[in-house]
Amino acid sequence: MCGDSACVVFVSRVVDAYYIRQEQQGNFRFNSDAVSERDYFCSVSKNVQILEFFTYLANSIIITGTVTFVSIIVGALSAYSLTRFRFPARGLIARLIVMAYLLPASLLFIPLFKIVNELHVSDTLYAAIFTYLVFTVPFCSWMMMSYFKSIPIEIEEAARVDGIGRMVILFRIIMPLSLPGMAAVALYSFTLAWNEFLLALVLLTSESNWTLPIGIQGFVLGDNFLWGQLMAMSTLACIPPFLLYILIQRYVVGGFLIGSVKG
Amino acid sequence: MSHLSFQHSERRQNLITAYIMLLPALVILIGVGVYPFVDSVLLTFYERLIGGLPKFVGLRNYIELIHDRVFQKTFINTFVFAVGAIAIKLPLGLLMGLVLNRAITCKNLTRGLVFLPWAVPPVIACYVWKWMMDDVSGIINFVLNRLHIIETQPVWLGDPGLAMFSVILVNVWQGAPFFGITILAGLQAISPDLYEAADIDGASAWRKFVHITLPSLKNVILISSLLSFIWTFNNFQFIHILTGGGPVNSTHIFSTLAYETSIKAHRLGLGATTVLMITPFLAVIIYVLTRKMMEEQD
Repeated sequence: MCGDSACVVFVSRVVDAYYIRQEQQGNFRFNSDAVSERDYFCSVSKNVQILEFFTYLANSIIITGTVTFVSIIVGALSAYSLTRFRFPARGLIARLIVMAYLLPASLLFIPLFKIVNELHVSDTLYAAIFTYLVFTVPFCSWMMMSYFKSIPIEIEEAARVDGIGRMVILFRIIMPLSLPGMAAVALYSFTLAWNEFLLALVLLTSESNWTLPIGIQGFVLGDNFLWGQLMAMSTLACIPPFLLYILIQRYVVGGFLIGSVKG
Repeated sequence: MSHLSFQHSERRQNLITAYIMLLPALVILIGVGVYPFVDSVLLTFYERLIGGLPKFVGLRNYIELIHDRVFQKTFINTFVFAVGAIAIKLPLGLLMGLVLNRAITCKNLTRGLVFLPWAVPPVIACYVWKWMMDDVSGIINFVLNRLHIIETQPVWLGDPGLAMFSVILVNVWQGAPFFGITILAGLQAISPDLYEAADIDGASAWRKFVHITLPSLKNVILISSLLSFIWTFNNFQFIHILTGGGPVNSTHIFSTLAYETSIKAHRLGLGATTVLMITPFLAVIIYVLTRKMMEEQD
């Protein structure tokens, strides 16, 4: 019942919005009397800028993938350094990392926008990748510090006696040992970057560079919401994080506990 | 003697390794964190339009903002939004944690469902809520009208008196599971021995809650509230999508206002000042939280 009436309103809105869009694009070809609502719906979904969706998806995957990968590596290096060595300014740097993790993007988006413009990398995927690192890297190193602390130092001392270098120890012994934790960290930074909105909105202006969260906004034309397309794209946009979530779900609660709150 | 110098050179070697491993993180922290922050502080003393040249104006941006009605309203809104949302999220999250900690049927399914809002990408959640809250075609008004709970069709997001409430509601829906998760984690860390001892003494459920559960959760509650406060305080996208700060600026928080001023109206200096005026409050919270989190880790 409710579904029906909602659907009617919704279809009529989609149709309205579709007309507006077509008129704006200057290729309005439909004879409104001859085509049934069903046909409109099909034509809308055919034209639903399927290509655009894949552009946004590709951008999101490139940005999020790179950011997650870099954050894990940089985070692991710094976490290892901070948990395994004693050196001046160690406490200060650890504190700085936690503060950077807590620092919200809304405090930095204006200077970042300005700097990115001055460096002439505005409206490129690089701009998004570099700026996202400011919140994913501190997060990763903070979380990994907890995991690395829980690994007994005797394990690597045996390796050091055999003359194995620090980097090899980190990548071959420590990181595999903290694999569940790493999975959780990867998932979180992936989610953070995947959902990032403010920086993407400010830094990525042309449509070919939009990520999914920004692309979804493209289905709002003034007061007209193309609800059908909006919801279709929203559903599709949910799939990658959900897949990842299901894949590494069992590490999540455990990982979460160590990182932020231990009770 | 040679042994000592060997030790010395190894220490030196370690020091170099330590700093090399830290270097990438430091470059990122300084390059996209510290430097932009300093830059934004400097920016507040300039009138700078996007694409234009900076002009030094001293404290004029600050003076303009203090006398600006919209900024004053935004300042209050930011706190109403953040405090209001947490005042609902915390009790709700506590309830979630307590219920989920019990041996209930379909434990995993219930947990999954309760935590679902947290996993839904915020942009999508915002649009779904915006759709549901639509005054004419939204399901909320439809259901309320059909059940004859209300006969009118409130404009949830368009009525200046209602908009803040609606925005807080959506934020609560999305944010309460975070409290649920952390509190559940905290509850599982409490030793069952405490409750057994209380049972032997014949303590009531309420007394156990007040004297065992709450004190054990103190740190968890403090940390998750402060974290959530920072996030809510800066929650740009909810407001941007749901209301855009309107109607009549009734839901503007400082991040949305700063966005309007800097990116939309092209006044970078004034936008940076808007952000900086609110920073001291955040700085206090970040300072306290950093200390707490570092204590927790050690």
